[in-house]
Amino acid sequence: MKRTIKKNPAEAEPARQLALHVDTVIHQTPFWASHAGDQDDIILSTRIRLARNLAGIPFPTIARREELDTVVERIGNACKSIRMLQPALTVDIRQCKTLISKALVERRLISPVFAESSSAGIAVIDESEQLSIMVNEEDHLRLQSIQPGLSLQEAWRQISRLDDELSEQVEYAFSDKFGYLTACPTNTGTGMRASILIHLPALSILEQVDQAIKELAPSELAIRGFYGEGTDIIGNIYQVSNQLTLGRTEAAIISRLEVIAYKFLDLERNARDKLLHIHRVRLEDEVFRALGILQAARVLSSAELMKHLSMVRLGNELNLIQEIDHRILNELMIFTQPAHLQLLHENITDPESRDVLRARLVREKLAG
Amino acid sequence: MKSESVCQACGINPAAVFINTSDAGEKMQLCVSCAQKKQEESTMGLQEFFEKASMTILGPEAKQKPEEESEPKACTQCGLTLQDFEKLGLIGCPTCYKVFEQELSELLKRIHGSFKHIGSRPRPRRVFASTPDIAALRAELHQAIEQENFERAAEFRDLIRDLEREQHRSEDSNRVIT
Ligand SMILES: [Zn+2]
Ligand SMILES: [Zn+2]
Repeated sequence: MKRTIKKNPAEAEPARQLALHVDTVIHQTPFWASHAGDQDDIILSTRIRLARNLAGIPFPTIARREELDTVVERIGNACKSIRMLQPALTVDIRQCKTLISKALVERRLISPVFAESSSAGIAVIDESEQLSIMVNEEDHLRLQSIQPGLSLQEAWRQISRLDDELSEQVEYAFSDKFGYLTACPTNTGTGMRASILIHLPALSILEQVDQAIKELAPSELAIRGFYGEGTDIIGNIYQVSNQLTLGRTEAAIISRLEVIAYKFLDLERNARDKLLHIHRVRLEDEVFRALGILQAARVLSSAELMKHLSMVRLGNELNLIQEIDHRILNELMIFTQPAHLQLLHENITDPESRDVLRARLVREKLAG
Repeated sequence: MKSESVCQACGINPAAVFINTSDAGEKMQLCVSCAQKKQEESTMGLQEFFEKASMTILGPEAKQKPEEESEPKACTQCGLTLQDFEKLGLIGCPTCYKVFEQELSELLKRIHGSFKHIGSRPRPRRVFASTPDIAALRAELHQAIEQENFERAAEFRDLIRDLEREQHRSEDSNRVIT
């Protein structure tokens, strides 16, 4: 995206260092989107987050202002000496411009609730966006690792290391019986939520997604939209995650999710085969129509882009169209989101001009 | 320590609902499914039913207090009461887990099917869950049997079984988690 998404010169010179750092992050392609990963023809990314709290301090929802400040200070200091987080972007969520916090949500680095928080809180994000921390969201700490493709083991390795390093510097609220103590009882125990983003266009064309979900997802797993809880399914992308956190080991939670991931992969691959060999014309029609729209449209909403991008991605994976770099498809998803468009381009003030700009960026990237 | 109550109707499931069955103040502890059956049998309207049944995710404890005890149990650190918790949906602080250990055990068991953490631990005590302390749990199991506390014994039995299953699973998958 380097050519189309240039730094806005007017914004390149703000005096504060913070803004410069944010700028760098907002312009870059995150690690998960720019690197190859296992099974990344179907699984976009893997994420693991851990909920942690400091011993002896009330959880953020009821903590007093001084207590919240203490948490920010302690974690902020601890982060400074953790090598995995060097260099890092630290964002003070209260001082952060709305557009920037929205862009961080679009990058799945912070939660929508945290973006709107008006109490003391910071986000710490490592250079490559593989690791990030929210301080004083629902819990004192939410640690997260995002990896490309299906990489639960790598995500766990990283987040576990970060967790270890932090726990050497701050004392966690932990009990032998209940494990890590969290504000919400649905997180108590391991405090772990592991999830994958899985792209199921072939099952969708064959109208078999609901059935697959019903068969595969035991009650222990949750299936949600792209941005997590309470969000719509867009672009045939589903988030599959564990629900239960207590009475199971992290290894068991990960293994179970992995097993289910492989079952989804099998179903989607079978569906892709079926389309290729039995419904080829229909498949090609879907793919080329989508590509045609993306190459020609002059006005493009986010939802419409995601819908057609899903078919183009499918056609790309099945070698039906001239190869498009994976990275470009991922970047289109990231940089055409509303806050990104508004931050990275001048004169974008209303949704309509956003849709026009989005269409232009997509045309440039997918020019035939 | 109070053992977990069992449904008075079926004698199998843990009691989740505490119901005033008559104006004379008779009380019954029922599991969710028996409570539903009871409600269907009942001639009471739904609203009346729920007014009489102190249906709370925290089980009977919250509403079982004698009336003269006006101050509800509150967390010694943050002051949270069970009523606050029900409203907020969130626990107040780490100490709440001690103050409301019994209630939260029941709640956590209902949510997760377990109230015992077997996962990782903070450093320097971090060990990976392939070595949970089953021996200690077995000792507790025997103790519960000796005390003829069979409900608790059943819980330990299930927990040990789950742990052993988890271990096999981790060994089978031979994950690189270290
Ligand atoms: Zn019953
Ligand atoms: Zn408390």
